[in-house]
Amino acid sequence: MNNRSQTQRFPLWASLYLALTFAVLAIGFYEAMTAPKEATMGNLYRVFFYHFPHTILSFVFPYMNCVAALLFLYWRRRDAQRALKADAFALASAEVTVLYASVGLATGMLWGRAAWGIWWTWDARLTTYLLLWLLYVSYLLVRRLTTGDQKAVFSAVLAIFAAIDIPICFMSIRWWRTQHPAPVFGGGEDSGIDKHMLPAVFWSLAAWALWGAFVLGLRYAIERRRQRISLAENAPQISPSAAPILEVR
Amino acid sequence: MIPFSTLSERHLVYAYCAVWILQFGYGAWLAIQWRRSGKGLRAKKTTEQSG
Repeated sequence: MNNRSQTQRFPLWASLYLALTFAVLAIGFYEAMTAPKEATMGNLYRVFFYHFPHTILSFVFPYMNCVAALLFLYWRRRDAQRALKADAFALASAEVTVLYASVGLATGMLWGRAAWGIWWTWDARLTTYLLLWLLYVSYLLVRRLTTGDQKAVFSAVLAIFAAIDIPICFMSIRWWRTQHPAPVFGGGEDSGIDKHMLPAVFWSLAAWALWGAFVLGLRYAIERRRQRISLAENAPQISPSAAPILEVR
Repeated sequence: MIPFSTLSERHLVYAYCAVWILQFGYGAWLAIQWRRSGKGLRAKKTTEQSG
């Protein structure tokens, strides 16, 4: 096998996975468009089929980021290779968190403008969700803009603090009843959704979860490649134990 | 077929388009980065082999 095929070719299993993801995305879209009309909001409620999966998943990826940051801090003086992998995964999960939270914010604002007549309000859920987005944007900025040996450690500590906002944001619509609607699932007696709308919810959730796992894996693979290139470039100047601190972005 | 005549219907279309643009835009950016990093890795291997 030549160099090009080893370094550039996309693995067959990843291509098949991507094809499956697009198929599930298409089913999710079809289900979302053909679900029955909602009594109060009409067609507008179909935003829910994209807003809900992105918001729920934007609460999952930050925990991956937090676990990876903890593993990085644990391994950085014990196992340089594992620390590098954990750091690459932390970066990938933070980027995907920002992506999913951006979609959650954008779809929420478009829905809010049409349903409530306003783009934004300083409601408990919206405010804590904006804070979540800002925390992970700041995490990415710290990684990109700072230099020095402690950069990876600072960003790992920031990741752990940022994760504290997740349960607060998740519970905000249960703790404080303000502008944002009450939870649709697990929100008490009045919560729930018509059973004819459930397939659209679950297909959309499955589709965007599959896509999220794909972009997370691809971003991780890219970062691992960059680490290898960076290690090779810096190899004569640095000791193996210092490598994880010096080359991570 | 969803009509495009009212604010709520327009915003529904905008919301779906915003999702596709953000998600598939990021996917396209990753594909470019994958290609670039592959080239970098290949160049590194070539250097190692010649050195």
